[in-house]
Amino acid sequence: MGKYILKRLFSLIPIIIGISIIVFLIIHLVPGDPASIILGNNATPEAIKALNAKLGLDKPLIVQYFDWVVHLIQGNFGTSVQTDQSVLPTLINKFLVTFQLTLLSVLIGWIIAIPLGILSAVKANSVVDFILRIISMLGISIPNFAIGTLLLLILSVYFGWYPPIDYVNFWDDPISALKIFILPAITMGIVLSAGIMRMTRTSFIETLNKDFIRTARAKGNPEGTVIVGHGLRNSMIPIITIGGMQIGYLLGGAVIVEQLFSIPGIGQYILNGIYHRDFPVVQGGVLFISLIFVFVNLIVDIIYCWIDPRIKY
Amino acid sequence: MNSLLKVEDLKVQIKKNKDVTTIIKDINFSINPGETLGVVGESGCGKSITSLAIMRLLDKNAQVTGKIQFESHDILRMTQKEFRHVRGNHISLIFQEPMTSLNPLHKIGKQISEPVIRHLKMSKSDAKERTIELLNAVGIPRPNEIYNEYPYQLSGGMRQRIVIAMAMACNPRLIIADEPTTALDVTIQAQILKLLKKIAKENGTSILFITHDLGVVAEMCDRVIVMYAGQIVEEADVRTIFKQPKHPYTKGLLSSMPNMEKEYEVLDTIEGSVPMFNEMPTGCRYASRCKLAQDICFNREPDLIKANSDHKARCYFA
Repeated sequence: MGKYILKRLFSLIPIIIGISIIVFLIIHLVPGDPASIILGNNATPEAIKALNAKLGLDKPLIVQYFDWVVHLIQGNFGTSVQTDQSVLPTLINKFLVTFQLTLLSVLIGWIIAIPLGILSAVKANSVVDFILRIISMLGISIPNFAIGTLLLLILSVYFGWYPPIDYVNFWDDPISALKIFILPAITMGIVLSAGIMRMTRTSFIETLNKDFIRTARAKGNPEGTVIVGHGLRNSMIPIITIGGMQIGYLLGGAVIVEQLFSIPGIGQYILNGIYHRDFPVVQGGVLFISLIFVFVNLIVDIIYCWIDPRIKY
Repeated sequence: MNSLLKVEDLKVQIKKNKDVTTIIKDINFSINPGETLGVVGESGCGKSITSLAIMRLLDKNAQVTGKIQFESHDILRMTQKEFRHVRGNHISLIFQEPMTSLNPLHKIGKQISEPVIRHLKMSKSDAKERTIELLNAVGIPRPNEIYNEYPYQLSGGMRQRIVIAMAMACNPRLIIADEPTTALDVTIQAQILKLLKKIAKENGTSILFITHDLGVVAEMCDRVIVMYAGQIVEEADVRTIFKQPKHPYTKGLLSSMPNMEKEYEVLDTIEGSVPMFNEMPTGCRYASRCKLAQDICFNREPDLIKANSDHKARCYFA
């Protein structure tokens, strides 16, 4: 297992190089000169030229790329053009916020989805299954901002409850932090649970038709043991796959939900960077998110091995 | 002698949408303690359905009627909870497909000790001891290592031994073996049959042995039931079945077996095919393929007629 993880970590190197090239090119090939946007419409050509020189944008692309990479390796993601703050520490801070939100969303999503998905599979083609499938279809179809807005509306109009606006760190004040996070987490949890529920249902129906489930029954196990003890682990691979993708995606920042609930997460940070052509922020942010995504995938692969001993790489 | 298992008028119907199809009917037989009863017939004749009905493992859309008396209880009238104490404990099942009937993600040891812990209420360490003992009994080499291995690390024959060890785990009074050797190659088949015979003899376990292979029947069974199209067509002890078969279908089956004594031989076949379950004829179900068939055969269904004390056949000309 250790050897496998090491091998996988090494194989990340070309992926990371590829990502860095793509990220760099996207930012630099986008039309619009950063210096003129930063300085505004009334900037003199001299001022623009000076800023370009300061940012290193007057050098050839390839030199700029290598400068950037060398700095990255030193742990220097550059400084924000807008705020003059170092990008990496800010990214990490914002990421921790997003991370907490993701964790809570996934927790809520899975707690709803897995039992309901199992129920749906066990009662396949019954009325219960039918209703659950309609609900999950709705969950997939309704965009998350609609669910979020609806939640906010219902709570504020009918219950007079507003989530706090000012963000506090979970470790400083867990209760207030939970108050802030709970609504966006429920919003995203609902969206997540719809996908997970459908996958759980499909995967379980397939597993429950397997011969070894009949064997488990023939041993005299109660139905609960048959389903959870013998069925669950055998159904987990597709569920983990979808779940891993969802987590990777959420860690990249659910921009709309963060915006809606004013959560200062990584999505909001990068979005701001894009508005202001703050290219060190965008470049660093996108790279950071890509790394997180790749890393989550690695963890998912490791979980595969742990779930199913037949999977060998 | 009191029989261990007594099946009376067993009938299984499958409901699909609004159609009800009768899969097996008029199934009557009994198994005595220590006896091995063979059930023979071609695929789709209802052998496996019979075994699954006894284990109550049929899908929910199957309606089972009749009586399945095990010792002093009717299995079909037990609650789920009551029957769980019988299943895997007093009656156990060996499946046809060792490749798929083991849980791929549980270690061998866990799978065998599961019924031991559940039914015999053994502690984990006692259960492990018992499991190793079982692995030894079914002839698994290196039982201590195999205990911690997964099914995918074992060959088909080994896996079938594991399935047998699982079935023996609680010293059941009845083992239902549903084509236990069909998926295995011939040399392994012989080993597995020998093993089952040994178990039956040493523990006095009754076996309901389901197979389509008459050679295996001759090897294993005391008495034989021949099934055709969801019915029992002949029942006799194994010697009589081979020496004096009464039913034309049994005769057909026997003459389609290769014979080592004849030098050049074209194997007999039975012309035609089994009628579909939803279009069963009103008369004898075998009539359309039978060379002896007369008008009466097509018009009225024959009963299972006693030829002598323990030989019955469902034929007017038996």
